[in-house]
Amino acid sequence: VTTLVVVTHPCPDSFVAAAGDRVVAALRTCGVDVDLIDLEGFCYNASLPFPADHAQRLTAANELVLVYPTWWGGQPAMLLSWLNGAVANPLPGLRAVVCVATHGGSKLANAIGGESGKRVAARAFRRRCAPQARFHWVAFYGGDRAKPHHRTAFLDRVERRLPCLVATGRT
Amino acid sequence: LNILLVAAHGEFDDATRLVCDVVRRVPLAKHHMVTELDLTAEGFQPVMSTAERRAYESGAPLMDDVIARHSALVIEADLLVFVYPTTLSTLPPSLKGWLDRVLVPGVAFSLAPDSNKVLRGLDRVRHIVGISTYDESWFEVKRGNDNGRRTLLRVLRLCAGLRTRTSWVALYEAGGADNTRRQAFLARVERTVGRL
Repeated sequence: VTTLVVVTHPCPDSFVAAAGDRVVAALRTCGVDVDLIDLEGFCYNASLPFPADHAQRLTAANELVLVYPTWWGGQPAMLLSWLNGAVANPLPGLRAVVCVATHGGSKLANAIGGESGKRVAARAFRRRCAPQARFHWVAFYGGDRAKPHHRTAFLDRVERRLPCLVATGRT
Repeated sequence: LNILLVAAHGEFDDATRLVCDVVRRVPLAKHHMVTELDLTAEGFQPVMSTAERRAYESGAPLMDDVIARHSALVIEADLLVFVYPTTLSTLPPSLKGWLDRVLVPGVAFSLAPDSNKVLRGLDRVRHIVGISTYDESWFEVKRGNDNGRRTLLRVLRLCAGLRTRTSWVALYEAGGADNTRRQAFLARVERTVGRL
């Protein structure tokens, strides 16, 4: 049983990539078997068919963790096309979907915008998973005006929360 | 008026193509100008590259020929019309990628230099129209939050002027729609576009 972590950001030195590293480190420290897909490093090409080994790794996974920046209210095109490929077949093995998402705008601005990214993962995507699959939202808001200590606090929160979220689903 | 039509077609999707025909034809009678961006036919690359993202964050977005042409059209547009089939309850990746890559700082918005506050940049846009086909029923679409509609009519709308209006035309359960429903849908599109 593995936890599949999918990280999406064009820059390897970005805040999102740092959050992805903390997710993987925190889960591995707790003895969780982590399977990491870095869509950028993999050079995932949206026009090609969904890679067969990704489909296989999705089937083997018990939880899916999506780490991404929010652009125009939702997932970047690369992650969106990956998700579209992922739901081509039902995913009855997935028992939890966790989003670790960063936002440039405030919580209020995103609420007015309708929180599309959150709802795509929590509703449209989760409907294709196991019937009782849980959804967890770990989000960073106000990135445009955040100070360094806000960012450090978020990374610490990711490190604290992720092992709990994965562990609750397995007991 | 300059009308910019941005279309993303599905693989076997003739409904959105018929819609585009209507959107191209109707405003001509009123001497408006319609420019069409067919993202599928152009083979638009939706994924933002590393160099592009770094330039975006530095405040001087990098633009290749395609992006520069598209963003020039956005800046000159008075009306934006989006036509697409809804997938996974939101925009298809090609159209989402178009928003990510074309609507960069300096085109759709800008960040205030001192406070990093987002300032709107689409002041010229008077009306945003979305036309979409859905596989699901009206109830299921609403339960899923209708994310494509929210993205275009709210998130994008926030970058336009205060008096910008919005319209939405939808065909629900498009896969099982018979000829009558499709004709009614096209008639609704024609009415909406004709009123602009």
